[in-house]
Amino acid sequence: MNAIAQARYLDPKLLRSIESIELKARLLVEGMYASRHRSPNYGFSVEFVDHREYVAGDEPRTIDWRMLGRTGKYFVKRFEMESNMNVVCLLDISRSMGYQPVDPGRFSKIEFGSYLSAALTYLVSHQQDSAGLFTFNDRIRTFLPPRQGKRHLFAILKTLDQLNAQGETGLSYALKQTAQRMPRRSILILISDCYGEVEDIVDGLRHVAARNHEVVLFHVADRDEVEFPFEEMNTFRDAETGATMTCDAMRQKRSYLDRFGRFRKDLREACAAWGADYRFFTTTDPLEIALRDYLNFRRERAR
Amino acid sequence: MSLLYPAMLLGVLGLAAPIAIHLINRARFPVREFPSLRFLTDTRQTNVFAPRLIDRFQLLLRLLAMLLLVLAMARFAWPGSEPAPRNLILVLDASASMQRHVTANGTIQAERYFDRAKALGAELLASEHAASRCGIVLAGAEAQTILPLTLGAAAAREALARAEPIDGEGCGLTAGLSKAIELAAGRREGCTQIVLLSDYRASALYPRKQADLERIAAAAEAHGASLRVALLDVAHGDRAGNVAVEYARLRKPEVNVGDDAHLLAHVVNHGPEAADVKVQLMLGARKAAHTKALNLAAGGEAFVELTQPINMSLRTIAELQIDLDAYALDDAFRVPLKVADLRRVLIVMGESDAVGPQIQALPGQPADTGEAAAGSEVDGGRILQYVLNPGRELGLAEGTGIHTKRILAPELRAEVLSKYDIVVLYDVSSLPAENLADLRTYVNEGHALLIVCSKHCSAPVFNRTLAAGTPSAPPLAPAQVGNEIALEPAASFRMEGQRHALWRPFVDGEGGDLSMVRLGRIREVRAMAEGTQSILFSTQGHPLMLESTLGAGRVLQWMVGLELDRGNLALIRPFPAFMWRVMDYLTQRHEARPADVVPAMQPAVLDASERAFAFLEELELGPAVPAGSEEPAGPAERLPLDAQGRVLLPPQRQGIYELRKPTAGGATRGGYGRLVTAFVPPAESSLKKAGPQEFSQAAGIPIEVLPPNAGASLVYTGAEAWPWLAALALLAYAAEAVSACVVNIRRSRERAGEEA
Repeated sequence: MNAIAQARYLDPKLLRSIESIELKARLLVEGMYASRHRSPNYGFSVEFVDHREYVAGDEPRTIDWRMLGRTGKYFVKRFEMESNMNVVCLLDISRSMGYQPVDPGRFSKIEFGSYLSAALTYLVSHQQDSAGLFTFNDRIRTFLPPRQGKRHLFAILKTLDQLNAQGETGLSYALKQTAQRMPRRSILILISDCYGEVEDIVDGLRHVAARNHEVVLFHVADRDEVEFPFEEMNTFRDAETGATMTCDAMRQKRSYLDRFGRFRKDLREACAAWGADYRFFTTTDPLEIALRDYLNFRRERAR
Repeated sequence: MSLLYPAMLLGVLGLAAPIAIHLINRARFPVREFPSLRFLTDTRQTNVFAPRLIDRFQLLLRLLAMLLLVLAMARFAWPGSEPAPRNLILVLDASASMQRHVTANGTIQAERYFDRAKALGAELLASEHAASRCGIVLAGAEAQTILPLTLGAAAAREALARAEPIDGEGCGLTAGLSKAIELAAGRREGCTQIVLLSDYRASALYPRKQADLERIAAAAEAHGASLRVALLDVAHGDRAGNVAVEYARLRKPEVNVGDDAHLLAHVVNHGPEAADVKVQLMLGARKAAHTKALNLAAGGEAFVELTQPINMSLRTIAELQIDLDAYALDDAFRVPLKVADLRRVLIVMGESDAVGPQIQALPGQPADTGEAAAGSEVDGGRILQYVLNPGRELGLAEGTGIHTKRILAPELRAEVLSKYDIVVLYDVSSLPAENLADLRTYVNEGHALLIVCSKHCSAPVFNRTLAAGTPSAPPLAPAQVGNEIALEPAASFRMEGQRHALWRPFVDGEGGDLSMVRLGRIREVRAMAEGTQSILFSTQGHPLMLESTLGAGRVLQWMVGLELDRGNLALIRPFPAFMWRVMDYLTQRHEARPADVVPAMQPAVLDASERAFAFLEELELGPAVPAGSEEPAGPAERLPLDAQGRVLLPPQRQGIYELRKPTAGGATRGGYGRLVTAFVPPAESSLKKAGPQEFSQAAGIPIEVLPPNAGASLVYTGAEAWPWLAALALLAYAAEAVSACVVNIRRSRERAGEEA
């Protein structure tokens, strides 16, 4: 992304300087296209779709009396129901997400994830969908089930505003728990650095898919993780476990990047296999792009 | 194998520094938090401190360099026969006994034990390493550092050559050891040796001071094994004897001419065998006739009395000698002999006495017909003249040493008063003014005046002349007289409760009994001048004798006459003793001073309150003038005279000294002087050796007592290795630096390759 393109997006410093997370979310969503998406379910609405024959149990008020007079048969009107979709942000708040990059001007992953979650929640709420928020590390930390309304929105935003990175990542557990707690078909937006075994993540995705949920995986990584810019001898300390490892960064850079690339590839393939949408971001990527990716994803799914 | 500075080995702890740095830096890389380590692999190799072989080699080089440096600084010495550096402090016993001559095969050698001690010390110093520190302590009258710890032995050899013993007891080896330890205080070298060179007599270990013992104990604890104290017994195996005149005194410290001088001496044989001793008394340079031969058993002692008649007034030394042996200092003992000077008394008679009757006869003597014809009444002045020196009056001998001259008052003008010690005014009522002025000056200068107011004394005239004074000239007589008093019944002297020095022999009965005195007629005291005291009262309370001082002199006034019709004073047996006592009192000889004999090298206080030293603020003490010479043998020192007439004598060596009036530079010496002798303390004469462990017990630390030929065993040996060690340390550092450069260059290349 060149500099001119970058200038169109919000500066992270500017975004960080804004205290209210609601305002941040609004700024991010503002100007976005807020499309309504077609629902595969029928319901009560104002837009007529077709008729079908009346069967016992249908509500009598849905009977199209004009059709009865014209055809002598009972037909009930069917309208396109507004989606009222459950969109739940699953935000990883493990300690690895709190990694402070070398460049202090950059977002940490948890900052990036919380802003993204706030913007998505804001966006979803203004689309009249129900927005929910799950934060997790090795267990579910916060559980705000999808609802509508401004109070719920503010509750989510407040929660996002007070997040602290802690614990270890348990993606599989979080996905399974979420899948169990969401009775309705929902869109699960998973925001994580995905540190865990790919097999565990696949296991979680399998559970989610079995419940008919849709998953969008936003794989967030810091630029340090992507580029591994270290050169000297360093003692690295695992942000989650505290374990240390001394290694020559220069010598290991190549192998590290290979392994990290392979990991991303495995993740992408696993997501594709289980119908999840995989998006990879670095914390330096504009948040608007992530939002746009989400909207595009929804649009594609609506078709 | 030895170390000069073992404390430097603490530097070995510094070896921990490179090791610690190595260990710390091995793991001390920038700790960086990273989200996950799953894509990293542990790498256990890297910088110069990492445990690669080359790093270990560098570490070893560093450790080696530091170890070598520490050993070099600790002055490591290989085992060897060459002397190694140490602290060596020689303590020389400088007490008088060290002046004893060495005896070989019964022959007294010229070498003294002190010379032998110096030779042994020089021998130790000759083989001393150039890096050694040497010091010398002289245990003389006090422990004295004559050379503090100084690098090298040259200065010590020079100081040793200058050392000389004293004539006194010495301060004791414990004090010398304490002083030596004080010199070694704070030194942390591997070996500090204190070598005492002494004849190791038992008395040399003392006196001990608590402070010295505490210092020795503290030093022994602080130095630990690095302190070695040894004593070389320079008189080891000496079997020679020693006969000593340990002390002598005159039976009477002051002898009159014509009397015998009796010298009592204490002679002791300290040798292991019996000895024949010839004791001889010498007066000055003259050999006296009196000699005594003694045979003293081993350890035996004898008290010898030698007598010498004194037939002339002299000022000399009575010296008691025995045959010279190896220790010559105690073979003679000198005592100043005081022969009492003649005292001259001028008896001035009142004019009325001149025509008075003279003494008739003395018991057992033919009557003096010339005087007897003059009348039957005995003249009081004549009685006085007679009693002051009866022997001379009778033509027998010098007697009391008091020469008298009797004149009439008008003849006084022709007399030179300063020739006389005492002037007696007997019944003198008046004197011309010039005579009065002369007498006043005479008394002021320290002489004595005795005024007797008997029956012919005219009270009004006396009171107008002799007893009258002016504001500028006090009266000569202490009291104005009145009429005669007839005592009925006769009175006596009141001696009860008398504390005056004049009456001391009569109060305790030694001088005789004055209670038989009966006085029929006395003179009344009308008034007393200021400062006058009555020193004798009659039993009826009349003042009989009055005393006053005038300048440095003294005036006595009697209200009692000696005539036979005034009482029986001149008839009683103690009368001569009483009068001689009065003369002694007036010439200040009433209290005998001890002989001026002081121990050598010890301070002493002498009474110098005699009249000859009156008005002086300081005296001069110097060696006595040798016989046949007019100049003193050495320089004199000035000593202040305190208000009580005492002088503090500083420690002196054995010899004869003279205490005299100070002489200005270039002035001719002469006049009055007192001889003072200093003797070597008898403790130095004892040959009793201390036991092998006695010094250790006395000092509280282990002390080796070695024979004189064991000095070689004290040499601290080893070959110094510090130059080699220092060079090796430098080499090790150089090698480490080279290897570090090589490693850095190689790593830089590796890194450049990886970056490429």
